[in-house]
Amino acid sequence: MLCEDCHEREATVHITHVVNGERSEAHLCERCAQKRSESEGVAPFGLQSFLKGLFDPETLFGPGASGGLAGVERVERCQRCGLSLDDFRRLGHLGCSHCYQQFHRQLLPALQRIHGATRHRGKVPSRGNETVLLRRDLKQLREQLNAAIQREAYEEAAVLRDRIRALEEQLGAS
Amino acid sequence: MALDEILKHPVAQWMVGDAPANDIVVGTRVRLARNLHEIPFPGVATRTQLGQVVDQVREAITHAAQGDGRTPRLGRLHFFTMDALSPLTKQLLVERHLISPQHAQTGAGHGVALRDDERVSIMVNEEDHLRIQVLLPGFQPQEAWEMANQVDDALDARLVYAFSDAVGYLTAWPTNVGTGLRASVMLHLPALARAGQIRALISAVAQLGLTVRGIYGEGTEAWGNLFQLSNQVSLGRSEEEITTHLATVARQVIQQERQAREALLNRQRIELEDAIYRSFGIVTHARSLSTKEALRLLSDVRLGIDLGLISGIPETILQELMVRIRPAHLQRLVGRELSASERDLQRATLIRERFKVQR
Repeated sequence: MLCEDCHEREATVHITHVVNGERSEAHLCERCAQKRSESEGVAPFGLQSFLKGLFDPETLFGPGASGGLAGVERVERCQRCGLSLDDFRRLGHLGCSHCYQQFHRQLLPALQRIHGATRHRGKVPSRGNETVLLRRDLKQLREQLNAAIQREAYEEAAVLRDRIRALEEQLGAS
Repeated sequence: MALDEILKHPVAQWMVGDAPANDIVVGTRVRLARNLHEIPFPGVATRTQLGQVVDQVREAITHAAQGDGRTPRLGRLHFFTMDALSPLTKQLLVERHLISPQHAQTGAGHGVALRDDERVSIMVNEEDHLRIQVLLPGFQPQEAWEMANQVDDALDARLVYAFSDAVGYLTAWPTNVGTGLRASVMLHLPALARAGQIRALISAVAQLGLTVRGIYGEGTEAWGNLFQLSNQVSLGRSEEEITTHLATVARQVIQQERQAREALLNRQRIELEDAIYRSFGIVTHARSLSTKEALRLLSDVRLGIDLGLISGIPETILQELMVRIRPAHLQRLVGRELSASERDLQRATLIRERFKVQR
């Protein structure tokens, strides 16, 4: 089977996507799959918009959070230290530096409220080139995301997608 | 060097001596919050991870103290783990403003480094892995920031900090993220307090991203009319901007306090003199004084000195005694544990003797 984007290379990435019970399939070569994923931000085939609704914090943590989320991990946790968003809300402090990536979206409005700003201006440490480290993390996460999508592990993919987006926002902003 | 050796002076060096604007500014403090890359913050770190932080920081401090050609020598910095310190010693550190009360409750896996002039202290594994603090007498925000920056540079040469290009130095509390900088000036504001202006001051500085609160006392009470003015905002402004902003506002507050003193003298001279001399009389003769009462009286005496009504007593009497009359310092002076009522007696005795020596 040829890739449905370039019609040149063999399609090696096969993704089945279910939206509201409607099934769609896509068959791409690796290069085009990568291209789509880049052009669409993170995940190809509208997966992003599909999951966006699910992982919208309003939906997830608002009053309606209990309904319609069967099978989806409801408690967002930092992948490194295990601190949950609820912990953060209750304690007021974060568990580790990765929490800043994990809870990036929730933190931004808080930072704006506290500091009237969301961007650091000031001293920079001499070591620990963060950009390099973030790019490395990002690369690993994208590989994991592709693997998860191939396995049709959408819940895992959603979590990975969120982490990737947070990282991209950080990198894009810097 | 033992910690008790460093603390042997009855008063810390930041409390005594001549310093800019020290008729109103008791002292200046700058602290920087820092964390190490890849290790969870102290609040969630495991014992092993806390130990790793202590080891790394201890090594960095030892090297920083010696200097290595690239970074300047930091001077005589000594590191102690909290479990090596007695409860009394920890409390002495709290009363000298060198560690936080919460940090005094910690043990193994936590530490403190102290320079022997007590102007630099570093809490290890308090809310953040490192809390670098510089404490100077009088009004010296710029100098305090520069000193803290130097200490930070020296440690940065050996440690990899948790840092993000977007939001800066990463801290346990989002309220400290960015620069990790909290600069404070400790102010004695008896005239503004007497004129009922503190509430207005608090709301005015809040508009400017700053905060005012009492150094001692609970809730809205500020014992001894002692207040701390600090920056709230740590993100989105450079360290210089934060320090300069705080200094600018502090200068205005100092100016307001001077004007209020002037106004008091002009309009209520008799009442003011009467209040000051009464307080002076009590504080030099009382047999039992609570901390709260002692601070109130000493505040009046200090105002009397500033206004030229009382002479022959050093100006720094307030900052000196505000530390020496506190429980652990009294206990060390007497050499045994004291009940609250015993402390009140010892406090009065100490103050009486302190004034006798001076007169």
